[in-house]
Amino acid sequence: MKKLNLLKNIIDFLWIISVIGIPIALFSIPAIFFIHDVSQIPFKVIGQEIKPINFPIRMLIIFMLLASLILFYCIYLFKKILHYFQQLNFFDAFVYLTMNKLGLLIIIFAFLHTLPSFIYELLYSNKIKVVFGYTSFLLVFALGLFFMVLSEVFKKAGQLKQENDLTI
Amino acid sequence: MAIIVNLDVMLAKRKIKSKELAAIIGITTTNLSILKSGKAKAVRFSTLAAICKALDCQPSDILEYVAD
Repeated sequence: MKKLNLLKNIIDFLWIISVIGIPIALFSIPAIFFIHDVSQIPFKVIGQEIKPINFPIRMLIIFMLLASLILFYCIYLFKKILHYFQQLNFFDAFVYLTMNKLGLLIIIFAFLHTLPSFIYELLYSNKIKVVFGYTSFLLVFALGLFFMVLSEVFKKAGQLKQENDLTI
Repeated sequence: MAIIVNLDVMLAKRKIKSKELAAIIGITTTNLSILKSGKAKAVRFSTLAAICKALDCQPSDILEYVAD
């Protein structure tokens, strides 16, 4: 259980950092919509500072902020799952249902995080890159799917445990 | 479920209480209650043998198949 405790501590630390980021993200979403002159605030997409902040760019930034909010929620859900693991409730219905939700949210995060930078490159850099190999999108997408598969495995394991408990 | 557990009937015939049977065969009263109520998913041969020995009966006296 040392590894579990270490993982829980790391996730708790990430969650504490996220708690600071949540109000910033929540404040930024309406601010980007309603403040007309946001050119003073430096926004970066794929490492490049974006200057013409028009409506489509504002929408892209909002998508990225939504992605970060989803990520914060994912950290929170993962923290709760690990709490159940620490209490040795591995096969509780909450665990596999939350794992499935977590996987789905990670997949949504992968799209929300990747699409804005892709659209920005397409619209403003006028170039399309085809990258083969390990991309962050594919890895995050696979991670989301892995959590969904893990959820199914835990559900099946829970059923087997229940059957075992009811074998007299 | 298609398998009916008639343990109650056998206990009444032999005039043995559930608590006593649980103590003889070495299972908890909770598990015996699960078995009696038909909530059990499976019965180990060792448990069935112990029940048959304690009640001096055959497995068919305890278990009965009823078509759904």
